[in-house]
Amino acid sequence: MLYHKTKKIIESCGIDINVLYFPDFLSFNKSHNNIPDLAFCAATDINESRKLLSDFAINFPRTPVVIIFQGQGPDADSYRDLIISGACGVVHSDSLDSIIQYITKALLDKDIGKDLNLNIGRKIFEHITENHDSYLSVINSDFEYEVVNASFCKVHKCKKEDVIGSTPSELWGNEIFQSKIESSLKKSLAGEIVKYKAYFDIPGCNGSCYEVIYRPFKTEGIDERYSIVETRDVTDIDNAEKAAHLANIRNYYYEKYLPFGIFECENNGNIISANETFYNILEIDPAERENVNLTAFFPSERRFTSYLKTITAGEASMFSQLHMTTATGGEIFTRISSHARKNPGYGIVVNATLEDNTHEVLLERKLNQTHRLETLGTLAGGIAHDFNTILTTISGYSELSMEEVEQGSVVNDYLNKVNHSVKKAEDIVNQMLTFSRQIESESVPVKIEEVLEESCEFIRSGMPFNIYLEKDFEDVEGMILTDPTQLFRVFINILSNSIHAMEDKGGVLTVKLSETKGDEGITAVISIIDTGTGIDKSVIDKIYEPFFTTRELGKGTGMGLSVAHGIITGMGGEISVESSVGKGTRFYVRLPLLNVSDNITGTESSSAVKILYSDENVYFSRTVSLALERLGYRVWLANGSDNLEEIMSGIGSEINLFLIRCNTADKSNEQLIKKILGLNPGNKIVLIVQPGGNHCRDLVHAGRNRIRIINEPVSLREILHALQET
Amino acid sequence: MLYRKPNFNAMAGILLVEDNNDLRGMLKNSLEKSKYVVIEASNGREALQKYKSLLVDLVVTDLLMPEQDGIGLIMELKKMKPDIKIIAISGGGKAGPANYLNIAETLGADAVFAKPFSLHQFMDRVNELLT
Repeated sequence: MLYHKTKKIIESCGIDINVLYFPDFLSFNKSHNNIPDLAFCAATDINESRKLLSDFAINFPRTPVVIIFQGQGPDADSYRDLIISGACGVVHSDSLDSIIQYITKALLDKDIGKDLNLNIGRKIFEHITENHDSYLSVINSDFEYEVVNASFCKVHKCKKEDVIGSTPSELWGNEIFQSKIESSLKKSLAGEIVKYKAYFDIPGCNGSCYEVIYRPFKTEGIDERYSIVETRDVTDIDNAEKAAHLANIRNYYYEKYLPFGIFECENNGNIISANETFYNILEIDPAERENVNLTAFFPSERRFTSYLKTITAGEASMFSQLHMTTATGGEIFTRISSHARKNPGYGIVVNATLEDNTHEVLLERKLNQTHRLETLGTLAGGIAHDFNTILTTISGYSELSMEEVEQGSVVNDYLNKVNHSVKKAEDIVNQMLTFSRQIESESVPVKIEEVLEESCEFIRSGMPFNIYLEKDFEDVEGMILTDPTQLFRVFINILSNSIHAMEDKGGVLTVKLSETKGDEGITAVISIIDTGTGIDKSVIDKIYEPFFTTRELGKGTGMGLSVAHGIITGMGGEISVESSVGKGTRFYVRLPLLNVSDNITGTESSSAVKILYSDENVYFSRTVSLALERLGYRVWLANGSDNLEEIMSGIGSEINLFLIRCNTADKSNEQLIKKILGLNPGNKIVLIVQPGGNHCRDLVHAGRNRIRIINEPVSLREILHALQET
Repeated sequence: MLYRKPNFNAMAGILLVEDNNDLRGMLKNSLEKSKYVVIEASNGREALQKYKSLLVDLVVTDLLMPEQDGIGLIMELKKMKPDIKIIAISGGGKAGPANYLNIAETLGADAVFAKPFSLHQFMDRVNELLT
């Protein structure tokens, strides 16, 4: 290609120089006058070149031969060995200036004038470079353009004749010349190759990147020095390089910091490659990242591993809420989005992302549970309402019937049993209403240790001997605003479940009280920890649902934890559970504490009023007395009429307010009331009666002004109200 | 006992408003046994239609009923006859039984009963109010 060009140049210049291009030298006329002055040899490979060179030397022993080769690297070096074989020079086909140098040297040898020399050189240069893509120019030591090519003129929108003879500072302005051109030009004129890449702010070239090379040019026999300036647009190359660089950086960040695990695996689960996050999610130690198999992390989950086995190329899928176990045994939920492809050497390969969404899954489950419990609460509330109406009808008819039959008759006994059952049904209905938070209760400031202590003492009394109760109460300063009766129920319900879980094998029941400070103030944390059977994972979400029970039919109502949940949620608190089958269960109750400085004393009117309270139900009496004491009353507890006199003699006549809770079946209360009324004319009684009981009515009628009746079920508020008014 | 007590106010009229037929029947039985004249209604609107000021001395009303509820009924009745005697009964609802009963009390109900209640106590109050 190139030597054809060279041939044309020389021919067009009309220079008297005989240049031979071979391998076509065999056709060269070997007359005496026709000895070539210079020969260019371009062969397809080095061996052919060597052969041609020796053939040529036989024919034209005095003619210098220049080998022109193409290609790079070791090939180029071996071409240079041809100089030993007799070549006068070896030139790369791209190396224009070298080719020109050899031609001018040949001209000098032939003793053609020096003036001609440069003109020829220029002509050759012009011809060769005219259609070159690079913008080429030759600048002399006076900083004048000697030669420019068509590309140069085109891109700078100027005419060749205007440029030649002008200087770069005239063309680009002095500022650009001084800042961008001058130093490089000077260096190259001094014999140095200057090469750099830059973005030039030349009109029409904005945003393009240029590579500029200043090459020194000096020919033997000529003193003048030149600089050949080649400028080429490398924007595309530059962009590609930058893109590759950015891609590297991006890959690095994907690898290192992306919160998604990225991995590639075979369809047997063997990990081919994975990023840092993948290993971090699965808690795989850096030392153990060789030969990781994904299936090992799915001990209880078959979805993803069985998908891997049946996968076909091109298939994409997503799995969420995958239950995985990490290398260190942690349980997490993940989402895997994957795509399968064919990969030679590995068969089917899966590229996928791994996302840890444990937090999300747990939150969603909690929300679901809350929602379900709310729905059930509304439902239970509705049922309870209807049941209350029906129960009133049943108990009413029963009471009416009892009027019709003789006391002590069999039918009377039966009707008593009906009433007894109605009472039980009422309890359940009340629990349902508590769960659905439709029971109104009066909140008073309560010291939580006291309720917890009461609950522990109460539960201890019925506890099997093989269970050990451990208490660990921190000092909690604040109080909680609650109905102590309800809170007592919460603790009793949880504690009795714990005891039930340890009934067979025994164990330790730990009750802890502590406080934590958070954004929303101080919270009391009550932990009830047992070492019992634990709760199976499949049912742990259902434990707060009404009527859910793991006990035998008829052994439990399934309302205990529902009631606890309803009460705690109603108090603005939170109840949570952790359990491990065979190891035990931990319940946590969190309740917001009142600030200590908040008003926690009882009302003025009730302070220091003394009350004697008689109730056969320990469960009920303890909480009521606790609440009353909290409100500033002094309360003495009596168990029916049995120990009344004993207590009365102990405190003398100071006491004249009595709170008595009557039991339907117990006739001894009549004696008690008579006794109290007879002791002191100022004695007043608040009587809590149960629906269906009629034994106290005559007495009440007699002591109308001194006895006040309230009906069960009673709230603390009702009792307080009655006591204040009496 | 209780029902053997002479009823000095025999023929006193009671408007009994309750949407549950069974409960209404039971209360009617009990009230009629004590020689009261009972006018029945299953909701507030029907109660207002049947209300005859001369005949009714006491209104016993449920609070949560279809059509017109008991709270509205109490307000209407108090407008027509400010000294009308009222007993409100309720089995609860969204705000809890005590809440509705509190409202009824504020509006002038003479007595309130949360279901389930003792028939004896209920009859005591009826007798007391009509004495």
